[in-house]
Amino acid sequence: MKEHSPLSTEKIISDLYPKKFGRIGRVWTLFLVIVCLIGAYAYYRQLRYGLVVTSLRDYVSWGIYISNFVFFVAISLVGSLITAILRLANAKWSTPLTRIAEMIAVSAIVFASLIIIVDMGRPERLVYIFTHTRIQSPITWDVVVISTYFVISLLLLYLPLLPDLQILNSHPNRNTGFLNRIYRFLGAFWKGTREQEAINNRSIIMLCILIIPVAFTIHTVTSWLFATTYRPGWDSTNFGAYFISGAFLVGGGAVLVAMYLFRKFYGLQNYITYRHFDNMGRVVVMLALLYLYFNVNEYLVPAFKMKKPEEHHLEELFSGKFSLGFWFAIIVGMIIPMFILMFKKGRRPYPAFWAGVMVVVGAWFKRYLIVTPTLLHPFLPMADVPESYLNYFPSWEEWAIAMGSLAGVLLIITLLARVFPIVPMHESITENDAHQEN
Amino acid sequence: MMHTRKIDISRLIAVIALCMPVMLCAQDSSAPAARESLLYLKYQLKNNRIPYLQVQTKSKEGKAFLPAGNVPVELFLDKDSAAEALIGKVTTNNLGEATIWIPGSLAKAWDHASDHTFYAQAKAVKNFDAVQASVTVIMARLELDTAAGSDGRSLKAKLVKKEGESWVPMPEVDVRLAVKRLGGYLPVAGDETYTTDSTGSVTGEFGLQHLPGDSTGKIEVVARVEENDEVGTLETSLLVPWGEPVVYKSDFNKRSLWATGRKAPIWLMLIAYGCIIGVWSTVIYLFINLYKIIKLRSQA
Repeated sequence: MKEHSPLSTEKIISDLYPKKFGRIGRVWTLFLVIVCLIGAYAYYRQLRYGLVVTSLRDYVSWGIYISNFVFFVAISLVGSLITAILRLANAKWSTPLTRIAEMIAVSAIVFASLIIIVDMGRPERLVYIFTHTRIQSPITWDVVVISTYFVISLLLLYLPLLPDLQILNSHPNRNTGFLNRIYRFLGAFWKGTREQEAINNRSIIMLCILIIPVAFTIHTVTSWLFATTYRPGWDSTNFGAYFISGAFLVGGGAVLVAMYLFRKFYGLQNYITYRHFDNMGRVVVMLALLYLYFNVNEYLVPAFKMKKPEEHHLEELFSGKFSLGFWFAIIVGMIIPMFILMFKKGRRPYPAFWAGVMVVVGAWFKRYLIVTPTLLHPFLPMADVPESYLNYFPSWEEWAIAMGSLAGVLLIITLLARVFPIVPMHESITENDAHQEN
Repeated sequence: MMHTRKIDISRLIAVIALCMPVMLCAQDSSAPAARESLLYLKYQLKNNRIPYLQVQTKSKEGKAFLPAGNVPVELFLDKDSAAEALIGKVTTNNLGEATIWIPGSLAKAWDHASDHTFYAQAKAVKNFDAVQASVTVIMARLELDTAAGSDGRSLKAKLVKKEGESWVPMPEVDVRLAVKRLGGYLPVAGDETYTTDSTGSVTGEFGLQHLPGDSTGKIEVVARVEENDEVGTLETSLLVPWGEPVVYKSDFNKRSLWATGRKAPIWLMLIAYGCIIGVWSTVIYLFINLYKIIKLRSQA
């Protein structure tokens, strides 16, 4: 909240109460629904005609879908960063950002799970993962850890929401009938007694501790899907740390973007202040430096040894057909945002928003570059194969599904923001009261 | 001016006309290279049993020899077209190869003479022209036996050919003595080939020690005459217990990272299931806490 300007409880509730969509909100939601529907139609075509409608072939069998999967898993890690790590580090300033972070985390992990199913030519065979489980397989670890992370993220969104649900239930006239039913179902039992609060606080602390290793595991296991496959560009012992650092960076960037948009369109200037942008900007600079370090490490070491297959792969990235995307991901996705956010003026909401956008867009390209160029450079030469096997550019169905999934994530966030307070109301009131007492 | 221009144009036409052959030659050099259809025919005999013929079709395009598949070829014995001399019809595979055994129906003709000529006629198909080939061989036998030499084990091969009703030795023919191993031929000693003496025989010391054999230590030794102008390719093999017994130990059913799910390593199961149980116990505990919170509603 804005320093030195305590607000009344009624004012806080009024400011933070979920608001009906305005015209822009309705247009935005309609736009997202349309993109999702186009994606659903493209997926229908994929189911109807098979994976042949995609550009996926024998060599590039993981294309834009798996890039998207890695991107979603990465972005979901922000829940553990903002909610858990900063909460455990007693960084009180992060309180207004926790709900945003958890909403992003939950929606991203939902679509991370879905996009894996989309990548399967025969999705009905997903059940075989469970009926023919091989605990040795990183794919099994991934399925286990994603479902675990989803449940934990959902709990971490829900438990801190209980006191807010009490407030929402106490203002039934401000809600639609449908929302009242949702609020009653989710939180009618919450009376805010000391015992309830004690148990809830204890549970939240436990969740914060639990989610950190699970979050680290989810992205480490995702990186192992690559690193346990012997291929140029993936054959690295460093992939876990590399992926985690990148995930925290994109998560931080996404929070910056969300902070700005929610602040602007929901009028939250009193709650998401310059201080939050300043602090979050510093966090993103640190994460960008960390990720840059891992990037240098990840490319310098193989470039120094320059084994033949690695040479071809690195040349394609540095100066070949993937160089534009590669340098875009490095310069626009890391270096420029870092320079913007290094300066105090750059940590103001508007430049910080653009820095966040650059981080997120750069991160998406980075995931594409982790997946595709490696698959196009196998150890054995590609001989006697059709021309379409030698290159990869996603078909319109792939683009539509990928964009549909991105729109799906944004749609869930938008709907969650419509139903629940974006900034925790109860915590804001408590902190405001404490501030007034001081 | 007009007159000058007319002269210039006529000169230009003359120059172009003179250059035409050169230009055509240049065009020729860039035109697709002429294609030549090739047919190869080989006679083979293994272990002195039923002889067979190997047909190979290739297309020569420029400097490249490419296999020509799906080419029908008819083969004849001693005559180039008669129906009674037809050995059979084959169609080459995608490597341009086909094999055919001499049928029993030609046994009489086969035994009648001591040398034979085989005729192959490839029919014209798309990208392959009609071509013919023939090969003449003398009927021969290659015998292989073991012998205990002064220095230890040795192999003895004898090459004989049919002359009238009798079999006579063939001197001055190169014979390989080898062990069949890993899809190739490993010479039994330093020499790649041995030349038959006046009795048609060669003897080679078996100098290979500790050679992996089958489970009883048997290895397959061979005597081989390769693409000889007179007798074709002959190969005779023999199983001898001169190798080391090799018992293959299958670790298929052992617990490993690459085994089936039920054969996962214990340590991995302990770690993985330990982590899963630890995390999900905590999650269940948190749900119990949530249940407690719900129960506390009535007390409030």
